[in-house]
Amino acid sequence: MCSERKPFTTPEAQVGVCEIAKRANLEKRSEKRRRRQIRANWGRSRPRPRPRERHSAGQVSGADGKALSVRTREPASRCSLERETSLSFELRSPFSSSSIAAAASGSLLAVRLCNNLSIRPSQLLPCFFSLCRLTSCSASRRFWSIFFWAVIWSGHKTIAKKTRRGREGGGSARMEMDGLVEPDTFDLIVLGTGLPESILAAAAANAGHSVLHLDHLDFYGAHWTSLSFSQFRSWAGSGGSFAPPPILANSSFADECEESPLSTASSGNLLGTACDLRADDETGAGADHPDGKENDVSGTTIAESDKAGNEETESARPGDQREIGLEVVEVDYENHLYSDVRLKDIEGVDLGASRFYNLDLAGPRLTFCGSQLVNLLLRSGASNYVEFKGVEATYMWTGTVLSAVPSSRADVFKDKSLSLSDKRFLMRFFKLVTDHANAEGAEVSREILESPFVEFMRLQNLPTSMQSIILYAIALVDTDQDSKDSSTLLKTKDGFRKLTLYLSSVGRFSNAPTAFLYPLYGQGELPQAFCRSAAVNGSLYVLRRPIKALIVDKECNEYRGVQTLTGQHLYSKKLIMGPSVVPKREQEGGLLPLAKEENGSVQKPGDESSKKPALLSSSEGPHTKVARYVCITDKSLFEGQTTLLVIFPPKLISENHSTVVRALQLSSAASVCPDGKFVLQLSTLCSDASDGHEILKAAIDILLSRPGEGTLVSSEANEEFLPAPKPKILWSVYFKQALHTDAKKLARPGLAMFDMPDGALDCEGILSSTEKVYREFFPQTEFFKKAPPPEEKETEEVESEDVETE
Amino acid sequence: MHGRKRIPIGQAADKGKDQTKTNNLKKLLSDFLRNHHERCYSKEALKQNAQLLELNPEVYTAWNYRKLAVRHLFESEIDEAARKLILDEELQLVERALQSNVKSYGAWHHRKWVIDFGLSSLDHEFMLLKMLLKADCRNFHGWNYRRFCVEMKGMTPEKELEYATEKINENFSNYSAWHYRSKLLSPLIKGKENKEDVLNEEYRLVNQAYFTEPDDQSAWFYNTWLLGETKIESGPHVVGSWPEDGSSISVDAQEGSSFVAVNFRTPLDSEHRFESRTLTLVIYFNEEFSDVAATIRSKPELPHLSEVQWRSVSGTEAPSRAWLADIPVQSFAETEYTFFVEVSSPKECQNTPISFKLKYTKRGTSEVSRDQNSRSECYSWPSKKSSSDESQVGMRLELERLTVDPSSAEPGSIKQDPTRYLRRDNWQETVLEEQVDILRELLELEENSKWTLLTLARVLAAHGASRYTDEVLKLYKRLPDIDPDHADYYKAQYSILYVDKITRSPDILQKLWWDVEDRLSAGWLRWNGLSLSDFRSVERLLWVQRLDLSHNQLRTVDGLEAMQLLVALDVSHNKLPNITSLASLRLIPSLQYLNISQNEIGDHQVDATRYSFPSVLTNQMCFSSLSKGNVNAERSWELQAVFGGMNLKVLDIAGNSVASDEIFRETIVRALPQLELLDGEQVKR
Repeated sequence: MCSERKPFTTPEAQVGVCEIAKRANLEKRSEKRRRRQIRANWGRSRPRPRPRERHSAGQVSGADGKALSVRTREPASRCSLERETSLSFELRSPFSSSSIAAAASGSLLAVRLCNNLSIRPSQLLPCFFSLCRLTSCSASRRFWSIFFWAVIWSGHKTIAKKTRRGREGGGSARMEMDGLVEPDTFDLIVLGTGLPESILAAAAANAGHSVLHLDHLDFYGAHWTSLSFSQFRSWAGSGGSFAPPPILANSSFADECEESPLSTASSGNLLGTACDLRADDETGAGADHPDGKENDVSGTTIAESDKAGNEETESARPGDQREIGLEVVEVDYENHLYSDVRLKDIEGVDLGASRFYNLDLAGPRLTFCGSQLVNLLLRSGASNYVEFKGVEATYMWTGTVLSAVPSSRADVFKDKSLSLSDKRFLMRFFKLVTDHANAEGAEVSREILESPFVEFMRLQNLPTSMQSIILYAIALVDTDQDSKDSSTLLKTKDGFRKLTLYLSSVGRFSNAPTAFLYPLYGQGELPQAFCRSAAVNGSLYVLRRPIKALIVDKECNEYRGVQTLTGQHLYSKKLIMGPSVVPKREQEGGLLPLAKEENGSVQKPGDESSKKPALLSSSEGPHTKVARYVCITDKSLFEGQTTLLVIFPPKLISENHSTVVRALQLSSAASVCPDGKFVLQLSTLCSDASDGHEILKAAIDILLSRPGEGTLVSSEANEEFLPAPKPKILWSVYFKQALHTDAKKLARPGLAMFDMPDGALDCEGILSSTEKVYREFFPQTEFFKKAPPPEEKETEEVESEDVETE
Repeated sequence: MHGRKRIPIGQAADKGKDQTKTNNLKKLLSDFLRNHHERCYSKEALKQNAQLLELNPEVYTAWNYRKLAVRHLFESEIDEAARKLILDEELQLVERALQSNVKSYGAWHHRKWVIDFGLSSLDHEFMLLKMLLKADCRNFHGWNYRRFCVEMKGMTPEKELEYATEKINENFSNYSAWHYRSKLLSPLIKGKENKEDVLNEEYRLVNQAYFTEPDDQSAWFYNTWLLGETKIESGPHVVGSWPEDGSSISVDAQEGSSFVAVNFRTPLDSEHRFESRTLTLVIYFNEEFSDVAATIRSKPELPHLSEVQWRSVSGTEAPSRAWLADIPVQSFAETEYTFFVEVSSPKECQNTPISFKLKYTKRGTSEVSRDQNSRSECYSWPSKKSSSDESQVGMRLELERLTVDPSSAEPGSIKQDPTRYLRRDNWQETVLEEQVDILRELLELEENSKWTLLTLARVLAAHGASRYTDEVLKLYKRLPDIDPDHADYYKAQYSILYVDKITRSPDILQKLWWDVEDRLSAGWLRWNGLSLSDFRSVERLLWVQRLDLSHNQLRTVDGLEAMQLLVALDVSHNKLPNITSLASLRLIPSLQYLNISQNEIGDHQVDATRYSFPSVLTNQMCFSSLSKGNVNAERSWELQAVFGGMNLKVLDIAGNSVASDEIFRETIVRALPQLELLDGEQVKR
């Protein structure tokens, strides 16, 4: 596991302690801030208890770790919340199981006590901090940290229970709209908790801006999330919509929507549709009041949301003035971003417990060790919430065999398949690139930098095999570089940047054997980690809070605020939207006819090039979708290695396919599946309905054997590179994800939107576009300048530098 | 661990803390010394001692005390388990001590000492070593200790070889691992049949390394070792002698004691008058030996020849390539003798006997009539004339274009085929040629890689074929530009090979020959203006009497002592840094004319060479002769040590920064009683 902060032997509970210390710091802040903070914590710890597991995540593969898990399962009737909640501790000696048991039972007792005395568990916080300060020995600190988490956790549980009870009893979903947001004015409102949105929220919070982060879904990560097996299966079963769809599929909710006269009134209008805000206000107030009354949810939010509700009604009057000259633009949530979903269950296969799976929606995706993302994680303190597993090897399909991609100097030295001169060419090329990056050596002319990278490599006498390794396995381009279309060719300067990044990544962390990292528990951990970092810096998180309209200035068409589905008006200077928010679709006719695909997903040609991140112009041309494939297999592609990346360069699988197919194998070492199972993710860019599936199928046939199909299909000339029988597919899902949505149509000053997860393997493109938006929005403050709290910063930076110098 | 900047310790100055630490250490130290003194080996005392060692493992006495104590405790216990317990405690202590300083000799030594009891588990040691060598892969204590443990456990070198491979695969810049590999392989391939296969495999491995990173030197060093194992070697043999094999010389013995010998179409210099009554034979080997014996026979037989002893040219026990024997001349009765010299020790020497003819004439005193004094007055150095002599320059240029044809041997000169003694195996040639190809391939890709150039030169030289000589010379000529830091080394290599190449060819040598005006004296062999920085390959020049090395870049004249017939030497316009660099000339009794003008004598304040290359002088300082007069002994001991005992008649020192020093000149005059001309001026005594 690649934890930059921690040497292998550091007690894992340190993370917990750090977090607590951080919170202790927050104690000193103003009362209002603190309350908001607690609410933020509430928000963050409710949907996913898993982060606590992360304290011990490192030992999943640690041989000497003593494992023990304490699980609290929700009653079956609560499955509506869908997310299985498990709290597991895997611990090393010397931490005895009895102390955990003591901590756990003690905490439960404490919670029960709290409930009886109607004390909020969070009120125990100060008491807990003082305990922590008093106890210096790490073992007892660990005890207390677990105690603390258990208290908080159980506290939330009770809150959640009450909430749900209320909902079930009332037969209405209104309980979910628990309360109003207070205050109602922010520097920034973020809609959606996808990776770029979360990074931006964290950055803004980090710079001291007030941030409100809303998501209409009940979990973090949006299209970037990782789901458990059953969640993923039901997601796939429903044709690729999130279950239960909190807005559109919820009938009671829809009822409510229909009740709103505004929505009916405005349904005939699309872009730029305006209605009188006064009328809107009335309905908003009308919608607010029942909420306020029914706020009997215990714990932090009730009192506050009660208060908030009151305040909201009070502040509505000055709001009146604020709203002069404003209008609303209704929006919708796009729920047809996935298409062509093909789920294949195989009967009689035991896949193990659903909760052990963390299946990525946007996989395969990796992070370069030396990438800006890792730096940001460290700088923002989000690294406290996520740990990584290093990818062990990269293989490339040569048409006949899978050959290992040399990733380091030692690899090049060892590699027997490279000829002596090839080694020299490769190393010399690497040196040329690093010299260029360090502004040493001979200068490369501007002309060359703008020319295609392939041509430059040809000039450098790189053998063709090396060229394709560098292009597809190192620079990670998505499309064929031999194509005539020069717009899809990687430029030399970008190639240089990629190579430099790759070379600086290899060996950055001593326990990451290649250049790539994968976050434990799935890619979904990344947005979550940034959300946490944002929350720690005071931003407010509310999930399951959709909006129904944007508030814009009538005259200059500038963004001013949003209107939530509950009717509350929230104002901010800036707005960031995830890709799900789209203009309200017109039922019949309209200004812009939308091309509807078979599954209802909307395709809009000609709009993508401007939105693509500058770094890689990967999905230009006809590529408007990414075909993804997730399957569970019974063994590893290469024995002894668990985490692997396989690259299929263009044209090698079939002549007429010009995109790269990437496959990522993950295992329990990355905590994405139970022991003995492997998860294989594949993706490629595609356009129309068929080609994506076919090419991925061909790639899978190379790697795996299909169940129920004759050996004739799978046994080809490639048998020899996988000597043992190929891994079997135990379960699989194929789907296509749209790269772009209609969000762009909402573009106006003051708001920015992020796109769907792109087809790239890394997050570089995402990151640069995020940073660009940030610079545009907050030119005065730096992108993640502020370091995490001092006591953490010290250890972190010193250690990370240590790692780097080695 | 390597290549890191040292961080000054103790900057975080918490003075009070430091003070208590010091006091604590002081107390522990004094307590321990008392215990040591009183031979107190109690538990308490040992505990204190352990504390001390944990804080400072460099207290060697404390380790020794522990050894005594452990032995004491050890003997008082009979139970093996209890004994093991004692030792285990020691091992743990060492581990803790190593944590404060991983390079503590005392701690490592103690560990070896404990392990030597043979009661402890070696597996644990290997585990420890694995950790250590992972953290610091070039810690030589670790590698040494590993060797020790391997020996203790009796592990096979093959298994260790695997370990070395693993370490190299991890990081091939690990010089320690390569070195360990060479150490393991040496006994494995010695005289084994599979040597060829093993070495081929090793070459393959090392090739990978320098193709990956040609600037990484560890692989190149390993390659040098491999080359040493593959080199086409020749056994010990005689490479030169005086008189040469097959030559004939004539000796004109004068009434009295001197004689004149004739050789190489020229008479031996008329100045060449041996005061002794002996004829000195020189044989010159290809390697250094510290003990040489050779029988001398003659036809007709001469008495006492069997008693002749061979001595090294330096007259010391140190190994030497040149060996001398003195044949008494006065016993000659016949006019013509044929001599046979056969080397009997070292035994592997493969030469057939060296034979030469000697004509012996007795003459009256009157026949050698020239006046020696007038000779020395009009003595002129070739270097003085050459500066404007254009034909000289033309000759030099021509010389560089000439190639050596070893077959064109002339009678009376070099007859031996230099490759005659090479022990050549087919596989060696194949391997070396393969390496040449590979290195040339690399050179095409990396034209300025110094290691590639140097190794190619070495491989070609190891191949030994004369067809490569020019390429090697070219490589050495190129290297100083690429790697100016080591230019001196490359120039020296170039000079050695260049001289060797020229001396192999009598044709070219002929062109270096300059007759003096009166044909009676021997001519000059002129090596001037060739940028030579080393003139060691004298094995085929042992007959030379007048040598001109002016306008070169010599820093020393070491090696010239083998030229026992040398009468005149011109080393003006070189880079001789001091008088000591002339020390070897003392060993040439016949040397009478010496020109050391225009050098750098006196320029260098600190004479570092004296310390780095201890010469014969080091132990032969003769202060006694200096105590006379008002001469500053400190400044002139060098002069006395070098020039004392030399027979110089003419000496030129002008153009050196010491030349203007009156005391210096005075000391020279005193040290050389026979000196007649100093810088062309008559010496007044």
